[in-house]
Amino acid sequence: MAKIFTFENIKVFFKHTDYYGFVHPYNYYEWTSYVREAFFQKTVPNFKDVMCRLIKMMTVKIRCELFDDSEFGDTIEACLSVGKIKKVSFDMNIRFININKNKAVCQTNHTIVFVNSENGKFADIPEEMKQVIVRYSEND
Amino acid sequence: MEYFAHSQKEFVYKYVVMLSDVDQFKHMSFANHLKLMFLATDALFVSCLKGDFLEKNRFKLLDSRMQFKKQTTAGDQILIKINSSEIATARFSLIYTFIMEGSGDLVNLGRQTYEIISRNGGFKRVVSEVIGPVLNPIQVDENHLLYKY
Repeated sequence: MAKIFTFENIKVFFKHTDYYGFVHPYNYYEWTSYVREAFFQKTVPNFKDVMCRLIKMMTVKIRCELFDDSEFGDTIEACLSVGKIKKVSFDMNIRFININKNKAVCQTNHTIVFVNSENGKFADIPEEMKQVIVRYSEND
Repeated sequence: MEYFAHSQKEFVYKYVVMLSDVDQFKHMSFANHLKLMFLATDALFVSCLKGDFLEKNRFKLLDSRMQFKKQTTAGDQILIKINSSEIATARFSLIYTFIMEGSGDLVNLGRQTYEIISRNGGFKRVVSEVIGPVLNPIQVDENHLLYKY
């Protein structure tokens, strides 16, 4: 069964709220970037070294669906899983659960691709990362 | 055959990528590109914020997405062109074409779908009545566009 990476450290502060007192949708994109970086830091022991190689990890597309509002003081938990894995790219899905409301408030789905930074051509997913993401794949 | 593109109108927002926008890899992160999409949206909506509009209405985002075509770095000048699409009774979409000023290189393609609800969330507003004058002049039929947003 596929594993899920959980990131529990999201608290809603005034900075995250909009004119009406609800979490501005942009925050889910920013939290998506935090969650995936936390995931790689936690699961790929030499992630920093991998990123220093002649390879670029690029986001090629992202989608965000909003289901409900969140407010100041709420705690949000992010649950990350991996979708389709290809040779040079893979999908990541993050579901944001509002703990206070006990319901999903947002989901983001994004695709990451790897590119050789010298010649600009697509590059294989680094082996260290591939070994990890297969364990979190929903298609397992 | 329709040659609508020659007379097509759009809302344009310009942004120069700042040093604070780029990360250690010298590129603007995907999240900042999305922040830029929301900035451009706000610039469009500001034109209809007269009187007590915001006290009575709320723009509620339902769905948004973006495709990333080209990386940007500090100093790049980006033009964000916004068109409206699929204007229905209770919802509408905005489509975004990010291009590099000068070269015209495509940077991103974005899309957002909104509904307008009353401030207390009690009922949906009729889009054409609330924001029609802003959306109608920039409306396009996506079936006739070069890109899929």
